[in-house]
Amino acid sequence: MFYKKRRLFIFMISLIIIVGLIGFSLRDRANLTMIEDFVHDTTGWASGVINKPITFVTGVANNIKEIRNVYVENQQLKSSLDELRQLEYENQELGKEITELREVLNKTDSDFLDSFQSIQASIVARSKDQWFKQVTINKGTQDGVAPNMAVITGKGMIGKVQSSSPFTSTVLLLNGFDRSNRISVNVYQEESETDMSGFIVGYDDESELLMMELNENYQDLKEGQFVFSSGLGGVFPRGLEIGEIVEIRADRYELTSVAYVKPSADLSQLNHVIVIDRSMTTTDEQAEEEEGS
Amino acid sequence: MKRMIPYLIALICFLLVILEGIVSLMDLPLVKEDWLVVSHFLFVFLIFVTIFFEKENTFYAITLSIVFSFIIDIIYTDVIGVYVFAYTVILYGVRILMKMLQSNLIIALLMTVIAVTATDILIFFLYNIIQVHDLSWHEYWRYRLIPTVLWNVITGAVMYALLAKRLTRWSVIKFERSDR
Repeated sequence: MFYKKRRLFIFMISLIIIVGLIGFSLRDRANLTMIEDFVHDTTGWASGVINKPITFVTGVANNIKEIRNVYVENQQLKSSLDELRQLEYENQELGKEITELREVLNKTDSDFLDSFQSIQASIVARSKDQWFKQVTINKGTQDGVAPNMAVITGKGMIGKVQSSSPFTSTVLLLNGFDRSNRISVNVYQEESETDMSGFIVGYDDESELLMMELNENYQDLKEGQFVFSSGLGGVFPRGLEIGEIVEIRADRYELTSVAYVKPSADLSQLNHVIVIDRSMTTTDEQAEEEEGS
Repeated sequence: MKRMIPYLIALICFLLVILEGIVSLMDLPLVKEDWLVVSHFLFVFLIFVTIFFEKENTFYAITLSIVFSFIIDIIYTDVIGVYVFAYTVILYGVRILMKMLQSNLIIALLMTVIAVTATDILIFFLYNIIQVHDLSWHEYWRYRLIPTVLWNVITGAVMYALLAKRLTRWSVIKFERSDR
């Protein structure tokens, strides 16, 4: 009798603790507790070590597969190399022009990508639960990674740093974004000088596309246009490629249109990423400073 | 040796937790595009510990489950507590069932199927309540539940081949030998 009562007691207490824990972790937290930092770092380090031989083996297997396609690829690369030369020249000329114009304007800091520090990182683990679109990278606050920094690959933006421990960080992928962490974007138009502006408001699980809402009802919105981060909103730097518009639909009330954007980077196949350190102060930091002073 | 055994099992648990994250980075062969496969390596291993290692009055599997599913919650999810609850409750159920059943291959695999199904459904409902996802039940069992159970039964069979005998031997060394 006593034994049964005790068991029930333990069960009730642990239930309360678990509900408390869930409630605690559901709050919006910017900083992790010390225990979480410690667990993140130890497991991150261990998975980095275990990952090395595994990536070596899969790398060798992939190399063998790739050797078959080398000839075709080589031909394609040769043709694109010529285009590249032309682009390089253009780039140089434009760069010169920009510096000249900047001198004229006396404007020193720029919001473009080259004025940002980049931190190279590798992905060591992915959330085992596919409902959380998270990956773990092997760089943390010791290397300068902080929450809310943008994370990109060579192809485009993949997400943002959600939380960082001393030696590892968690990255929230683009397909995990919702209305609480939206990205201000521009749509690039070839003919006109101004870009259309809007927001990435979420991710559509069924079609696996990002949803973009525009600030105004633009007529020129077309499929095939490219979407870039605009730098407004103070979280992400300007000019990060996000994706390409593949579909345009009217929203529920037929007032604005919702564009569906296919992410440029492949979110399911990630190995090496770059964390972009925005050197300008962000709005969050400003708010903190104001609170502190 | 006798004192080392629990730590050895804990070490295996730790490695399995890390493997779960690494495996989800890779493309598994034979997995279709829209299938979602979740590895419950730690959980399958703890089922085996319950079946082959545990004695009537010991709680190794439950203790390890609390510690390591807490780690899973911290590193792989945003919400702390869901995996701790799901794993531990279902393991307790397995423990009660195993008092009536024999420990052999068929029973072990059967238990894996039942327990993994139960945990995954429990996790689905818990996450549904706290609004981590809004998947419909129909989509869930077709695209996630069945592939997940299949994948975990395969890993369970591999684990049986590698560890079942060893766990039984460790159990004998730990609980029945009085020397050393």
